[in-house]
Amino acid sequence: MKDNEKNKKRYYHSVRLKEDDCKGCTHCIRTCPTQAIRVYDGKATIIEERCIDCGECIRTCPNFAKYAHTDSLDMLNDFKYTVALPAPSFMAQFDPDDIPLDKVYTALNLMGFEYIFEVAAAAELVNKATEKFMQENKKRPVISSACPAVVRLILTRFPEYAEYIAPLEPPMDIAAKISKDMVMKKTGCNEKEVGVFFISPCPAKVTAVNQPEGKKKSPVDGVFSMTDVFDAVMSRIQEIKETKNYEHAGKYGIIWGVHEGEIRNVHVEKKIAVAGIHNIISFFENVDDKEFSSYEFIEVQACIPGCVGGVLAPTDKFMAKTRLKRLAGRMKESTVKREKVFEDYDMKFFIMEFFNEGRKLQPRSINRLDTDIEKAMEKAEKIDVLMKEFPGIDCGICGCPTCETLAEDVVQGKASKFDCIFVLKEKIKNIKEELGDISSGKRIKDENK
Amino acid sequence: MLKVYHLEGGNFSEAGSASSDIKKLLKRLGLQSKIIKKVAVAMYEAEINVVAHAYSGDINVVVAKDHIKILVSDKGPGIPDVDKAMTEGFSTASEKVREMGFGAGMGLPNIKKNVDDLNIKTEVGKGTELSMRIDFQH
Repeated sequence: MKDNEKNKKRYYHSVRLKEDDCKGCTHCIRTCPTQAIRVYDGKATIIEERCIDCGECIRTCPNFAKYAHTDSLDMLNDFKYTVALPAPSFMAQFDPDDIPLDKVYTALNLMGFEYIFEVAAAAELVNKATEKFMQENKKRPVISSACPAVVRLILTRFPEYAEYIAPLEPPMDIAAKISKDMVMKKTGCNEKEVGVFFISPCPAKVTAVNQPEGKKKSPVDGVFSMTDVFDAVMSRIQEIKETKNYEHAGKYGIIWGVHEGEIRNVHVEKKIAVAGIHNIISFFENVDDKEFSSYEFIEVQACIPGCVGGVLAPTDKFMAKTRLKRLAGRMKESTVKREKVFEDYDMKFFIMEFFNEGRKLQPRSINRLDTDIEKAMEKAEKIDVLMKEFPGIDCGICGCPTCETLAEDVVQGKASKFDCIFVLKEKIKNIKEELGDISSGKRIKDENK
Repeated sequence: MLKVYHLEGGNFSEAGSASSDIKKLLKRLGLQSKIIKKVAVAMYEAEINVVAHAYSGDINVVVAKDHIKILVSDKGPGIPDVDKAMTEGFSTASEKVREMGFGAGMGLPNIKKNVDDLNIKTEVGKGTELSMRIDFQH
């Protein structure tokens, strides 16, 4: 318990549990890609250092006991000027032939956002920065840093691949920095008077803002749930008499909202896109060194089919994917003005560590059993022994996702092997036999032999 | 600690599971990524060699606190000329094996590159015994 309290201070998490709604079923523990959930005493518990805020448990929980904590729309009142940063996936929440994007943005204005800056525009710039970075740095492959859930997955479960993650700021952060600058220049107000808000399809972005990896502070001031904003937009659509005109990002930025969107504009021969957190895990587990180093660029997105599949996106993910592709098809490749913005900022603007006092992404392995290698070996051996005792059917009744995680918890002193009902049954059977022997006098006779 | 694995010749889809398992173990022990990578590469190549050339093979892995020893012994054709087999690009793999993307003649050279000590005992018509050691501290 003490440990838990200490960790609560160390890690921010968007994904949380409504304990009263949790029935202690084992759906979430099975789908959690980092084995971060246990069920103790009939309630789920999230292990803070293991959770990567991907939101898979929110997707699975049949009782809606898991939720993503996002900022309240009331936060718009806390700033003199506010900027909406719609994710590319947000653009796919509305049928462009029914509710055109400009109408949606007019509704955002009505909600209280003074300015709108599409993250898709920043995505175009990140595409260009990626290309430039790859020309200047020959280390391959380069893994995209855009999906915060995957970045966390690599840092915790696959630290050996951490060095390949591009040190580039994700589009959300770039959009926040540029738009804040723009508003400050335009209005002459100071940094604290401008609030920049990301409209997010996923909880991982909320965590990326509140506790960013590899940096001290995010340039984003708040993160709104895409579902909340969708509802607010829909409730204002009727009152819109006059739709304003807005500048839109090019097709290559918009398409980032779906699987294979980012790599489309990374011009290298050997590139691969993997979507779905479980698919990404099996990719990293199975890819051999030769294959891995043959790639030049790797796009990784925790959700299927890309960000439109995020848990906070209200529209059906495949409908949204089709809409986004349709929308992108109608856009120019890239807008001249955006090009100019890119000229205004040099490469440093895109590299993470220049803005963060030299901070870099730090791997923090959750695999290690002990800091002392000999103790770790003892524990690993005990795990092997326990695995022979456990049935290996991953039933989840003990509250752990797999027999192996129970074995790990046992050697770490967090569980007992008798939490396994099969081991417990065996133990009871033995006790029963022993008691039977004693009462029948067989044991005494045996012992006297 | 000791880990034991068995391989069947021709079973390419199974090759790699032993090295994955060892990779997982070494992560648990908290070893540096570059050491884990060396072990995984050397062991994977050895596994491929067994399934590509031999009838069957056994792998014994001994993990100590400062090094790992991997012994791969197979029942198979043996290596007629070890020096030649150690040359990059030299391969005796069958056409079928090459079609699967293996047999580029990089197996043994790649193993040698990644280990601190390599010993090959082989007898033509009987089999090969490969023992390798990788130190954890450098």
